[in-house]
Amino acid sequence: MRRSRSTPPWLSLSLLFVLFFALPLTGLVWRATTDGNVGDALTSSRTLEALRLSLATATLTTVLAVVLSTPLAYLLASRPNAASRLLATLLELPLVLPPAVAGIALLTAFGRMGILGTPLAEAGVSLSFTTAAVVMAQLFVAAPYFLRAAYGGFASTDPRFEAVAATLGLSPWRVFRDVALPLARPALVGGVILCWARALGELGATLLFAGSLPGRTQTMPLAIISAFESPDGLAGAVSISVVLLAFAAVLLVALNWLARARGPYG
Amino acid sequence: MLVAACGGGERHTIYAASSLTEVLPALIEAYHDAGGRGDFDVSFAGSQTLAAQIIEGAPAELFIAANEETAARVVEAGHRVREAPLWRNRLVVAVRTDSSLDTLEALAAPGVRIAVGAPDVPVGALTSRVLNLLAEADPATVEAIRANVVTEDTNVRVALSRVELGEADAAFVYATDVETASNVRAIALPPGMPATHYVAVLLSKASPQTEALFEFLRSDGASIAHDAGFEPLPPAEPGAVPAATSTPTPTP
Repeated sequence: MRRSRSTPPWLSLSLLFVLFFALPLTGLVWRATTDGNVGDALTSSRTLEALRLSLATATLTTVLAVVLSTPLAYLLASRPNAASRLLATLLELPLVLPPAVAGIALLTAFGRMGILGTPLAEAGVSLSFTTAAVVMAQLFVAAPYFLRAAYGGFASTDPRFEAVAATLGLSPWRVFRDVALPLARPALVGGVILCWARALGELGATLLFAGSLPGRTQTMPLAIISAFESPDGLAGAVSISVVLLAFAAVLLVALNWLARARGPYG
Repeated sequence: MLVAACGGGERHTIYAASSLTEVLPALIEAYHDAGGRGDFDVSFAGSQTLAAQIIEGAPAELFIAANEETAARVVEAGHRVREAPLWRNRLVVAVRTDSSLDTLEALAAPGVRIAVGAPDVPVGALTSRVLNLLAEADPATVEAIRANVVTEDTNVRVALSRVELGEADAAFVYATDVETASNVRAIALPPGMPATHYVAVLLSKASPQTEALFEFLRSDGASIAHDAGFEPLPPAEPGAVPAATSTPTPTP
């Protein structure tokens, strides 16, 4: 006799939870197809400019985050002492800060009246309201996602691998490149996805530090807020939202596929 | 923000344009002082945001929009019981008190950073109208001013804060906004420029208390608003909403 397949008690709960995500996303697509005009949104130069700016800045932010965070995370993880743990925690603070606070913090540092902003202004450099400010805002709020993932990845690999590699005569650079990096790879790839996604969705810090000007600082989230404020209201906002949703979905699938693909050491 | 009064459990929600952030609590206090009843929760944001939320079913009982067009959106969606024009507000250029900028022409200099409202929000729409009028006399200056715009903000208070923080050199805001900020002064625009008209819309969910507040705003409240810099409406201006449009004729 075959055992009947029993339904686990948490199945209905899980289904409800999936619905919690599926319903708003369905609603977005439904409203965009009934009220909105996705075709107009896709051909509007304002949306396309915002989309281009969003993809470019989020990608640049992610590249910067990876290049700058990976050595730092490795450094912190390979010296497990109180100081490095404290520093790692400090660098995670932007994860729990509301983005608006991040924006104000950036202004106090790099704004015209900020700590570094004043000498920069004297040198003729002004950061706020520039595309560079968009990337800085994204980097501030999104890089900690990668840093945290990378730190966790490096910290959880068995240090004996690296010790053995070093006794076999590998230089510290080779140990990092050929041992530590491949072992931490899944964590790093996960961090890339989180960082890029967070950068793409960044709104509050960008609004405060970079402002909102089409073509220069108005990324997709800012364009959606701006559309919501227009007489088209929700109809315009959902149309642009669906465009962003589609691009984000495609890129997320691609990134996840890359993450599953086995690396040379994987 | 909460404006509490005597007892009672029920609270009534009011949506108001962000340029009313200071004056509306003062008006509600005066309403209570005059014996008015009811506890009100006031939500301040850009008029367009509030209008969109009301159309999507937000439980507001009274909406005060910063222009007639935004009020009309809510009315067209069939949410009005009554509406009344309240006061008007002029556009000025806000600069820091220590700023060297003194004239409109100075805003056209290269490198001046200007914040404006987004073209779709009331303050931005007014700015756009004013600049178009100014361009008739001096297109080159206005073009240079437009080129100096660094941000299009979705409400007037954000645009003003850019100047308060020193990030922008100037912002096109309402005259009353400048009076609420301590380190900001106004450069007046030439006379004859259009002003924005605030409209109160009593919504279909309104309680008797909210209706009483609505009546207060139209009558005794006016002097308080005028003290805060809001100007009385000119008598029977063509195109203005007729005083106290009454009874629902919702257009589907």
